[in-house]
Amino acid sequence: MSTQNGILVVAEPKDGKLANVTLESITQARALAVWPVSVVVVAAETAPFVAAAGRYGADRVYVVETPEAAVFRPGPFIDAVAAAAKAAEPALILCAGSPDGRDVAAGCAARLGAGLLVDITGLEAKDGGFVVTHPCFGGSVIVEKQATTTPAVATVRPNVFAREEAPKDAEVVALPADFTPAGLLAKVLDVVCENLGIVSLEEASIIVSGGRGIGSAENFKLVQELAAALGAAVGASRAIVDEGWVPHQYQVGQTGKTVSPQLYIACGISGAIQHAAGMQTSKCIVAINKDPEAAIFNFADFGVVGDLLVIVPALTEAIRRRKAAS
Amino acid sequence: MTETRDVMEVDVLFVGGGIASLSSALHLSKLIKAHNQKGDGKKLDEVTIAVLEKGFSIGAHGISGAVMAPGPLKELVPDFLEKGAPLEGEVKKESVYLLTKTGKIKSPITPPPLNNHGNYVVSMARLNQWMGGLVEDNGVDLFPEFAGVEVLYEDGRVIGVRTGDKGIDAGGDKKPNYEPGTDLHARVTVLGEGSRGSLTKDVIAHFKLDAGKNPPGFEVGVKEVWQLPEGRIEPGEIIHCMGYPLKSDTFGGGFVYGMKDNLVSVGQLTSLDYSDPFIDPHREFQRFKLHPLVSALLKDGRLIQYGAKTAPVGGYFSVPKLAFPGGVIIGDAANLFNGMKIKGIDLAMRSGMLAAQAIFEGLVADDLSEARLAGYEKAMADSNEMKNLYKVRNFHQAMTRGLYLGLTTVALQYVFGGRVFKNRLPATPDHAHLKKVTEKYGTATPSAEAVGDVKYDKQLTFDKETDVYYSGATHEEAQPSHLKIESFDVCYGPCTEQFQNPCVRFCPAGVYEMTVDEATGKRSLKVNFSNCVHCKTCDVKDPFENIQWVPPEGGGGPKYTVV
Amino acid sequence: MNIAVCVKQVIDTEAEKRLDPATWRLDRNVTCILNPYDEYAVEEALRIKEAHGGEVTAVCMGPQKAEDAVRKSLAMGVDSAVLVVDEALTGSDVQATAYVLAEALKGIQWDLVIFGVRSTDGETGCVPAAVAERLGVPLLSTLAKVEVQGSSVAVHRETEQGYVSYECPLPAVLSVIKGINEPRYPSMKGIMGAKKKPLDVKDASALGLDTAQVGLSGSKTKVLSARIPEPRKAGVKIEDDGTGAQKIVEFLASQKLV
Ligand SMILES: Cc1cc2nc3c(=O)[nH]c(=O)nc-3n(C[C@H](O)[C@H](O)[C@H](O)COP(=O)(O)OP(=O)(O)OC[C@H]3O[C@@H](n4cnc5c(N)ncnc54)[C@H](O)[C@@H]3O)c2cc1C
Ligand SMILES: Nc1ncnc2c1ncn2[C@@H]1O[C@H](COP(=O)(O)O)[C@@H](O)[C@H]1O
Repeated sequence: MSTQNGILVVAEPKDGKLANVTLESITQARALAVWPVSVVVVAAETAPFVAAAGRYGADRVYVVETPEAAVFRPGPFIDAVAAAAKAAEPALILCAGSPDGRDVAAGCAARLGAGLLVDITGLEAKDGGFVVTHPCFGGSVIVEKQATTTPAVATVRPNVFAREEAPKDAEVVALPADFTPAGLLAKVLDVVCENLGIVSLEEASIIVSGGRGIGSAENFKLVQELAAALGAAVGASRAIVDEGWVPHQYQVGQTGKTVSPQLYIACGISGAIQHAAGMQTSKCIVAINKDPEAAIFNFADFGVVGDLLVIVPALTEAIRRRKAAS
Repeated sequence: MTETRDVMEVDVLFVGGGIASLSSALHLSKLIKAHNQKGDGKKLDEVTIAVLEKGFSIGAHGISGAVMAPGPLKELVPDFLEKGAPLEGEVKKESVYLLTKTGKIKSPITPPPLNNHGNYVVSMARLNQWMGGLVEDNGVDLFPEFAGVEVLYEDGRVIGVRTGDKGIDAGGDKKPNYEPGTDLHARVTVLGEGSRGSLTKDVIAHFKLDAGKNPPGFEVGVKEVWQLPEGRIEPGEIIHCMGYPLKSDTFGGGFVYGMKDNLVSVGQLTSLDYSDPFIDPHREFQRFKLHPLVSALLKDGRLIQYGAKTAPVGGYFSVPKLAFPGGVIIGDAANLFNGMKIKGIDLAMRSGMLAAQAIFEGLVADDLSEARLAGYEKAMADSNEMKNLYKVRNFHQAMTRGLYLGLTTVALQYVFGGRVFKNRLPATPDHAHLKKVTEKYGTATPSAEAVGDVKYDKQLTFDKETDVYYSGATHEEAQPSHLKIESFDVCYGPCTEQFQNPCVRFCPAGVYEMTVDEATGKRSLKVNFSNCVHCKTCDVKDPFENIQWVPPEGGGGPKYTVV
Repeated sequence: MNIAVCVKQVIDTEAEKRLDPATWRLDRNVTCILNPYDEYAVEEALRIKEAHGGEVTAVCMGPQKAEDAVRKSLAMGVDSAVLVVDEALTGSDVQATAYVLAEALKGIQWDLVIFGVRSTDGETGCVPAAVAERLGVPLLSTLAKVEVQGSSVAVHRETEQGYVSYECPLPAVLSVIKGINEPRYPSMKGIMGAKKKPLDVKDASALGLDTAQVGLSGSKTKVLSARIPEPRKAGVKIEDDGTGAQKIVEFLASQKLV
């Protein structure tokens, strides 16, 4: 494995923009000073993505523009990325750590005979190659890994790398939309936005969770309002799921979901180990609890001892004002 | 009901996959094999043997101290060493202490009943798992994740058991994956459910097997396994403690057993005939760890696993009739436990093996009548293990009188081989011993100090919630609670008034939680059944016998691997 | 309508995860189970079989003791199984695993291959796509609904906003998510029956595998080091004096979180 010919980032379109994880990957690739940093955009309309890639400092952008790529399908996306890989001959291909990204990464790696590094949270250039960090077993062990092939393919965990603009005039290289027939067999029938606006817990970058400290089922709306203001997903501790205040799919912890967002705001949650087991790998934890002895304060980055019924609405208000002002 | 249940026929059905059942099934399958090989008499070709275990796997609900007297194992699996029996260490070093709050008095000699030289330290979970492998290799069908939930009677005899339905939601409705239980019909049903078995209770009552016996008595053992820095304790080294932290009117004791690979088993037994409604066996165990003797040992160590379980200490006079029409009772389920020596594994294995012998003879003779099965009871009475149990027959009843008086009585009794009280000392059920808060403390609001509360530092001492996490206990949360509260009115009425809801304290897994509405003062009891480690303390100790423990959906409960 | 389902045996997440400090590999001497996510795949396969007929075959790569997990799938109702066991396969990474599974799949009859969305110990979620690529068959992953209609399959793939529905001719490779169904419990009869169902144990040579592509040495990724992360430490803790909310906002701003 080498670092020659730099890094190719596979763009993940999301709601008409580049997904944050793509921007984070570009920023991190630049930080390594391994040139060039290329981006491959596969979409029905690539212009806005190309612009964004340039804004974040891509040297070169490969574009495959075709109506076939309006909605994600593994086949054509793998074909397009493989074509870009052939053109760029990168040392490393970075994909999003998302369902789409995983499909593309695994498919490309299989096609290119490349080593696949999954769910990385650290990326370094060392001794003429790349070393990645990967937390396994729910974050209980951190391993450093390397691929033995050039190129290598990796999926990048969202929300771990910084995202910084560094505008550049990216060179744009158009590639033909040459797809293998097998890749086009799956047909998109319909795109349904049934639960629009609700961020899924496991993929969310911010989560606001409520525990028994909220006092009643009605007060859960305070948690929901704060989440809405932050664009966050909503979670809960087992205690209030047991109480029947919220449904089980909100439950975070040992017998619920394991999450690892950039920011976890725990409102009225004691921080019992069963809950911690599901969220302690969050990047930043903020806790609001009136019990100064609550275990959550032992591992929260920022804790406020006080009445959440007062603090949470005030926080929601302050966030809304801040967002309105910006 | 149009529902059809599967019916499955087996010859011998074991309920409970503990050491008693596993030893019994292994012995029986070996006897049958040997018989068939010998070739005289009728061949027992198609004898089917099945073992039901409610735990997630064989061994998942296995918890004990434990120091094992190896006699029965040596007979049952003579090449146990070659077969890799998971023995933690042979006992070579042993001490006994009487603890005071910070001090200790070492007994110059090990009292004879506690002398363990030549015994082995074992982990019940590991031993059961290993035995399960041997049993399966001998052609026995093991069914982990299946709980026996109902005894099937027909024409005055037990004809088998029904296993629990799966896929029932909290409201009692069938989920899409609903799977009705199976009716297992058996020629012989062997109850090896362990301490306070739920089906065993039913069978004992049905056939009045306890007529003229003492009520059973229990201790609850709360323990942790720790990983220690190198060289703290030898595998097989054991320490027994009496006194602190238990007050002198409560019986029990602490133990420290050295295991392989720098693991140590630390635990404390609390007799459930205590009278103080504020006793919390989990807390007493945490206090035991705070004693310098233990805290020094555990310093810089790491908690690996937690667990709790009752042990039946009622003794000889509480052993029910062991055979009934259609089956037998073995091991802890039959209260076959030596409370003075803290030993039940050898009794469980012995009873299992002797039961197997009787069943085998019955199979050969094609006679599995109660009279035939009663041969097991006779053989048991003649066994060394049972004779030892007889020697200490009044131990538990004496200890109820408090540590010092009890110890004197017991010492005398031991020296005179149990003859001090020729007849049996009477006993009352554990739950009847509880005194009212005001009676015990002279006030309804005793201080935290008087009660003995501790602050858990999460280094050496842990709250129940944290400990439960380390037991691996979980249950499918969408199922009805398996802890049946007969009357919540009793909880909020007399139980609150007299005892201030001792369930929140006696349960070592934090299952019972009482919340009081600040504004209205209204109480509500929350039953966190998912935390339950299947110790059965609540079934034993609730002062109003208001809690009934029944098996939850199979596969739930703790996931023990080293306790 | 024949279906193959790929099932993996994993370490029970409830059991303590112990790493061998010498090799940094999982100590497999603990309780192992059928990967919970694969139960959904098995259930989905059984439902399709019940509606459309055919046979379901489980395919697994793992140590000999993975037989327990395979038996569980048989007890649930799978008809037969292939278990690939070989010392040479230990330490296989995603691509090596996908190679082995693809080769094993080539040896059996199927119109559909169904995977779990991820394994609870490997956690990559990448094996299905890598296998599909090797088989040259279309992939549809992370599905919340699967419906076979004649010679094609209609599916819903979950997205953050809702779902996308696709249609794809058979043969195809699918992965299904938790919640697509409620996996059935193996019944006692099922467990007894599973003991008699065909379970084909194959080694690397029986599958004609190129051993240079499998195992630790044949994997194209390697572990350089492993460590247990430092436990989290307590950060700042303040008493609310009426400015608590404001202080949180300031903190979040300082961390570039708002
Ligand atoms: C803290 C403690 C310390 C001890 N120390 C020692 C010691 O040092 N030495 C010693 O010799 N003994 C000791 N014992 C006693 C010893 O552990 C028991 O005597 C022994 O485990 C009894 O074995 P058993 O098979 O009868 O019951 P158990 O070990 O209790 O096994 C019964 C099994 O049946 C299952 N089961 C129960 N009901 C059902 C049902 N309805 N359906 C399906 N499955 C069911 C349970 O899950 C369990 O796995 C100790 C006990 C405790 C609690
Ligand atoms: N060793 C294996 N044997 C069989 N199937 C596997 C194996 N490893 C992974 N799989 C399948 O691939 C899916 C995704 O696994 P993973 O990529 O490890 O997260 C699992 O849910 C299984 O269906």
